[in-house]
Amino acid sequence: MSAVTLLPEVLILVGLALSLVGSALSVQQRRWAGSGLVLIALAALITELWFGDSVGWLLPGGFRQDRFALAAKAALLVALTVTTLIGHADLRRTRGLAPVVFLAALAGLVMASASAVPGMFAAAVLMTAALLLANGGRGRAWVLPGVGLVGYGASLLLLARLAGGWGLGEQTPAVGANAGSLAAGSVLMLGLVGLGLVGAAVWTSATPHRPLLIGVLLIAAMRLAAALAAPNSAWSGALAALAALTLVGCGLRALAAPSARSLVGWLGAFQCAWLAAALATHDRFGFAAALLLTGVLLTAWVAADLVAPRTAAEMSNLWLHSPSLAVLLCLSVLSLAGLPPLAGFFGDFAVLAELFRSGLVWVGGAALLGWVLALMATVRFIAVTYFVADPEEVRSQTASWRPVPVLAMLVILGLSAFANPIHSLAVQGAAALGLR
Amino acid sequence: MSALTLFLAATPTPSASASPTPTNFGAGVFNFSFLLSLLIWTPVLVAAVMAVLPNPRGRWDRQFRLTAFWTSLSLLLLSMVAYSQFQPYASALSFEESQPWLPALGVTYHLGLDGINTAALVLNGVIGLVAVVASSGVRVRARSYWVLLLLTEAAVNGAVEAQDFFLFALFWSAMIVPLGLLIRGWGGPGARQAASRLVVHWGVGSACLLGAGIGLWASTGAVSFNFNTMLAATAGDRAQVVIGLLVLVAAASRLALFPFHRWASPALAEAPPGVAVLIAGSGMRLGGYLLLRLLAQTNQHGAELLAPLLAAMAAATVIWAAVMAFGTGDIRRLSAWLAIIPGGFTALGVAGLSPLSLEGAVLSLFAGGLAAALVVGAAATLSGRAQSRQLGVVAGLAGRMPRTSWLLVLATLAILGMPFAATFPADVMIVLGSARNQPVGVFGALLGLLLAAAAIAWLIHRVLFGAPRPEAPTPSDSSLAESWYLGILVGALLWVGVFPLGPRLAGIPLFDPGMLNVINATIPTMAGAYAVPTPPPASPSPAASPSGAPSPSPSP
Repeated sequence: MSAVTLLPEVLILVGLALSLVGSALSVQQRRWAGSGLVLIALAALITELWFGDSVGWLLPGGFRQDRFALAAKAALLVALTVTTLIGHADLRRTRGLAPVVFLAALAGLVMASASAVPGMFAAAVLMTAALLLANGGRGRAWVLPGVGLVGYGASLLLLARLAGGWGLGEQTPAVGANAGSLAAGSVLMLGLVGLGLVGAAVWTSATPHRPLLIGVLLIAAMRLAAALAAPNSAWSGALAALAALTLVGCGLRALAAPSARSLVGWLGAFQCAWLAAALATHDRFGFAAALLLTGVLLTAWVAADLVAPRTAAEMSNLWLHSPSLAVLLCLSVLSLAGLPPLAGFFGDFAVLAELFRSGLVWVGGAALLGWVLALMATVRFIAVTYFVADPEEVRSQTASWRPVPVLAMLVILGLSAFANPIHSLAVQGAAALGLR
Repeated sequence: MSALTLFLAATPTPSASASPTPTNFGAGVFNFSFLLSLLIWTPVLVAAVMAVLPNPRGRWDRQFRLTAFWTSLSLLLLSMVAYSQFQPYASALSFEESQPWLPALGVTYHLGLDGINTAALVLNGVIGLVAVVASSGVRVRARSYWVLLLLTEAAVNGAVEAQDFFLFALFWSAMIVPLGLLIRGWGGPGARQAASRLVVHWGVGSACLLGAGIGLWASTGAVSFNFNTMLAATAGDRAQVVIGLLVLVAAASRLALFPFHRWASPALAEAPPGVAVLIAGSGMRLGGYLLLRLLAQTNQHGAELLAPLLAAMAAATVIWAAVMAFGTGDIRRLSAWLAIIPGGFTALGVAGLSPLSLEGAVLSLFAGGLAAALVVGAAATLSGRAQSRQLGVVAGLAGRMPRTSWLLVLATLAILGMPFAATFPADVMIVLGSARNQPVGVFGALLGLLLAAAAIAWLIHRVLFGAPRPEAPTPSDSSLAESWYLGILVGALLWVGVFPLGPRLAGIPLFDPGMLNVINATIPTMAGAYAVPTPPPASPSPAASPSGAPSPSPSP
């Protein structure tokens, strides 16, 4: 495998550097820098899809490129491209956003290719750095850095334990690995999923760093869950219970969400719970469904997070003054709720099928209950925000559609249209994890 | 030259067959391989283009309405092509399209027509056009309305044409959001609650459908979601009952069967006329279609076990709807209760599980859809033109609104199974076909129909022929558009009622192959498992069996 496979990582590093100096630029220069960031993200995605299909090792065993890495990286880079695209269209949101998302994307790329404990540790460090840089939102500035520091400390301890049990350089724990190491791995994996769920739900007022940061956690959880699936699946019951509870809870909270941003947060957590349920099946097709869902979830989530206004009144204004952004938000929310014909439905259906096939019917029942609640929440949200405006005021508006939201919409719709190749890649990705 | 070659290549060539099968006159002339996809994706494409076109100050609202009309008309014409070209004696699906979609899961993009969904497709075509014409008065947020209406039409067509469970569930669930928004945004004063109820009931039904379909897939080896594969595999008895129950809930929530009927009255009463017609005519009928497809056809043991429950639900629905029709003082609510009755008969036909009752159930899908849409539409038009929905206010309208009054009378009589209306043969077949297996259900349904007749007599006496109230607003008769859309429904009901086997000239079928012929193409296959075994022929003489052992009886 040639070193050109590392080109996406290099491009993301360039983007990170550019975004770090971007805050010192003038508005006009920032506009150009924003365009540059979009192009860099797009180039990273294209190079990943172009060169990422080779399979092999680099950096003496520390970097593994396989189908899982390709699928996970592609999911992250699509989400990054949409983030930079929409963020660039609205300059107010660009400041302070780009460094964190590029750092999170880099952490995700490293995590996706991490073949052993050192790689995962490097990704955890990058992730912590992204969390420290991130702003937790109004009144919650301490949340993300705090979580970052706690997570960093915990990962240090657990990784030290794992390194003892698994040995450096091994991709998966040996079957004969001692029980303490397996337990530590299980706790770490459950912790990552739990952190993702809690993060998705609690950071409801956070800025659009959230989806990419949680994406990194979920990719790490998938790596660990796959590594633990063969020698020990005792954790899957706990994970299934956690997923079932979260599915129903998030559906209920989405129904009571007071604002668009809050709704998006709860629906994001809802989809994370679908993903956790898929991991609980600990089989190849369950993981494939999780990978499919990762791409769908991240893309819809970043778009929704970037567009969602804080209040219902702002949302009504969005319909009046920028219908394309409002429709983009609705499409993203529909996809996050798993409603057909958007890609979220494809992912949820795949997970549901695997839950039934692997005998976790009760989790499937909870998932369907959560799905109905999410459906109700979504219809309520669209109706409340769209129909609140005076019809005459709507008629008098001459707002036209803007190209950037339309492009983002095409990406979200494209995930449904190209569900077949994406799912095929996800199945190959799950097979690359060594699952049966 | 190349165009001629293409034309010749596209023209179907007769294939040599050992036993030539008879086809109706004109079948097989048009045979495009993408007709069914056109029926789904044309409205989606038109809706997408409509949604993004600039429309400053509603300048293009009229053009959007015309676009929706022409789109729906073209969909109806395409449906009629599919119907007239249907080959009743061919064993394969007509206009079949099959492409692998998610191969790892066994999902295919598989569309095709058999006798059951051809009837439903024609119904959707008629109802879609009627819904657009009935919505001609929409002025507020007109573009959004047309976009949502076209998306709903596409979803209904997709659900009917699907031959793969994934595709079916996708389209089945995809119509909830647009319909909920249509009711919420353009409905009457109670629209908010009505929309919420519809979304909750249909959402729960969709969840049950997903559980049932995936459960069936998993219990039959998780091979494929294709209906053919699921039909060939057999789940265990316990699984069949559980899956059957889930299918029953899913269908009952859509068909508004008791006790899952609580959404229907508010939704049909509060929705704008076009949307009410669409729900009553097409949306609700999908419940009956589901019962036929996933219960009677795929889950035979479960269907036999659950048939008494289904018959009880059907009878309770008809009785409850008739009683509630008596109790309401709102003419639109009354029509909504009446519109539930055909669904009860469809369910009873499925519960009958005999070839005749199943044939009646399929015909009832078509005829009941038209009758329900007609009664809901006529009541919406009447209340709109009379400027009141209250039965205590509107009275003596027959003289002042003759057209609408006659249409309402025809609509209510169609619900009762008036001879010459398509509901008549459907109801007769259901009653005769179910009487043996579900006598109590049949008795209950007929009792309900009697009560409904009394409620209708009361309605007609009071609203149409009672003494006019001086304080009531001045009514006006239906507009041309309103008369047209109701007239189309009446015409379709009468056409199929008078020519259920299609018109013939000197014994040769004309352009219409006949709705019953089309339905009959599938019923023998579906009902074969439920056919009453024929008694073994009597032995000619004891000497024929020298050992005295009984002669082997032929398999049924």
